[in-house]
This record gives sequence, C-alpha cells and structure tokens, in this order.
Amino acid sequence: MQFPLTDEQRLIQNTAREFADSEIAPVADQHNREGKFPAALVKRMGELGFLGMLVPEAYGGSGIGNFGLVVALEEVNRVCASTGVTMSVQNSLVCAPVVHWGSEAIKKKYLPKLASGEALGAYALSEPGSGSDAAALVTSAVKDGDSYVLNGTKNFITSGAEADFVIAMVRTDPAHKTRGITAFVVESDWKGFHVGKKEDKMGLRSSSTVQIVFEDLRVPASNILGELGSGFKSRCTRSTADASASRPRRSVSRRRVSTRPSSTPKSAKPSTSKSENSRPSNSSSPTWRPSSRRRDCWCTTPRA
Amino acid sequence: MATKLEAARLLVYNAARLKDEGSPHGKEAAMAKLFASEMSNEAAREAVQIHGGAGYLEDFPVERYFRDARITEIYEGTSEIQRIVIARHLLKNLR
Repeated sequence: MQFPLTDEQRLIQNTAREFADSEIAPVADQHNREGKFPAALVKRMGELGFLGMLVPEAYGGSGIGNFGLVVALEEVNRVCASTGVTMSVQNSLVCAPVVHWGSEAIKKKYLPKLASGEALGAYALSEPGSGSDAAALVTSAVKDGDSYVLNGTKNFITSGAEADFVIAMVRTDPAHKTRGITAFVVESDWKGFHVGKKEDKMGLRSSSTVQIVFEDLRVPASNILGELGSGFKSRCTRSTADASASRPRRSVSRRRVSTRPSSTPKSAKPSTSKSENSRPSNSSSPTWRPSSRRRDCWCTTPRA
Repeated sequence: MATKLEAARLLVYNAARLKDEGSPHGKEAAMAKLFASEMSNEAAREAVQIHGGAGYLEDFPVERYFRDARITEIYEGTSEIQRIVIARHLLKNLR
C-alpha cells in the first residue's frame, strides 16, 4: 500500500523533521527531567504553522488537513511526545471543534489566535467521576439571562495550566444524559476559572495535565459551540475527526524507539520514492512556507 | 517490530486520508488508534530490552519513550473503548 505525499505534504514533513531534530531534540530530555512546559517550542510551532493545520486559511490556519497534520505530528512525536501532545491537542481537540461547531463570531474571535500560537487551547471533558463514560459528566451550566453559570471540576486536562481558552463540556440538562451536554468556549482569565492540582505523571512530563475548577464561572450564551445539548454529538464527531490526528503521537514514539536513540533518526517514510536512509540535509531541504498561504502562520525565516 | 510499526503507520495514514476525503472513517480511526498505541508500547518495551540494563537508566532516551508510550493506550479513548467502537461498526454492518 502506498501513500504518496503531495509536494506540499513532503515539504511539511521535511520542515517538521528539521524543526524536530534541530530545535526539539536538543531540549527534549531536559524538559522531561524538569517537567518544563516547552513554551518556546510552542511559539515556534505557531510560527511554522503547525498549530492551525485544520483551520481554514480564512481564519488564520493552513487548512492543510488531517494527512498533513499526521505527517507533521509524526516528526514532532519522534523526538518528543510531550511537545507532540501539545500540538495535537491544539489542532484536533481545540481548533477542529471550533472550526466545525463554532459560530462565525466564535471562529473569528478564537481561531486566528489558536492557529498562530498566540493562544493555547485545552479541552475539558473528563471529570473526577467520569472518564471513559464521558457522558456521565456532572459539571453544570445553569442559564442566567444571556449567560450560563458553570460549576464543577474537570480532570486530566492536557495543557490546562497554560491554556488561554478551554472547550468545556458541561451539563445543561440533567434530564438527558447525552443530549444534555453542551460545549462552551471558556477563557481562562475569566472570574471563577481555577487551575487546580497539577498531576505528576509517568510520562509526557513536559506537558501539563491539571485539574480545572469552575466556580460560578459566567460564560456568555454566545460562546456555546454548536447547539444547546449538542455537546456530546460534537464530541463524538470530533472524536472520530480527531482520532486520526491523535494517532501520530503513538506511531511517533514508536518510530523513535525503533530507530537508534540519540543518533540521527533515520527517515521512516512509509512510501514514495526517497531513500529510506537519507534524511534531508538542513542545507538542502526547502522549508515549508507556502507563500500562497497566510504569511503569518508559516515559517517566515528560511532555515539555513 | 519494524513491520508492525509500518502497519500502524499505514493504518494512521489511511484513516487520515479517509477523513480528508470526507469518507466514513470511524472504524478505521479506531483501528488505527488501537493498533498504533498498542504497537508503540510493544516497540518501546522491546527497545528497553534490546538496551539491556542501559535501557533501564535515565542516561538514555529509551526509558522516556517507554514511559511516554504508555498513555497512548489510555487517553483519547482507551484501547477498550476503541474495541467497542470497532465492534459496533462491525455489528452494524451485519444487520
């Protein structure tokens, strides 16, 4: 089976590979030891256009799609799964549902910042009492005028300590299990948003995983993603949409360990004509910065 | 190990391609997530073994890969959930 990459996808792959090897790999071990969130790398990923790959160009992204995203994620995850999960969450768990379910106003407000890396996003579904049975969530949203007031605790929120915006899945109708769940876009600097316990994890140690507490957090009704009560539907849709984007982290960690650690990893392209053993040299590989696309979300500095 | 990783990569690419085409991809995505995450752990485990005692030390990155891989079978739908999703797709087509 062959998956020939388009010229653009190959350029993305080369750019991601070079970025991973030259900028992530040298600091990955240190970040892991210190449990340090790679803020500088996230900023760079925004500059390279790696945070808005599912976002249409009209909203500041590249609209490159899931295949391009998995190709890029594979390269990032090959050297650092923590950086990879941050990138994956931003693209697939945050940007994608906003693209698919957000109103025009929400898209205009949030997507350009998320795609450029100016803002970081998180996705809050799990709770202390609901994991795999996600629809059992109890965090509540009660309507009050033009707003909803949120109360509850979210668990295991990736990038939650650093997030500017959080997509929160909350219960707007206790009478219906799945149809009583609504997705809201919440901003972390709003009153009543608290970052709780930071988890001390076995792995992904330089990606934050935190508890988030909503305490009488007031959210405008206009920040609902999709329809009232459609949250779980959007979750399911997003879940399948996202699944492809989430996967590369797995294939990546795998791939990294299958090559020789701490040496130059070999190219493991699954297809096409290039030699499996030749990694593009930094000097010869063009950088992915399609000039036809929005300049501010691509790499603007050709790497020497 | 390399063969399984290649299979995982192809499952991932296939699901991404289906998604980009706008084709149904729920089953394929679940299969890719399930297989790729389990293979990542298998590969990481074997990699530690290949390194012997050195693989158990923090001196080498392989122990980090081993630790980082573990979550992939748990987050974003555990392997058990992926199997449920796959089974539902299969059973739906039997009706």
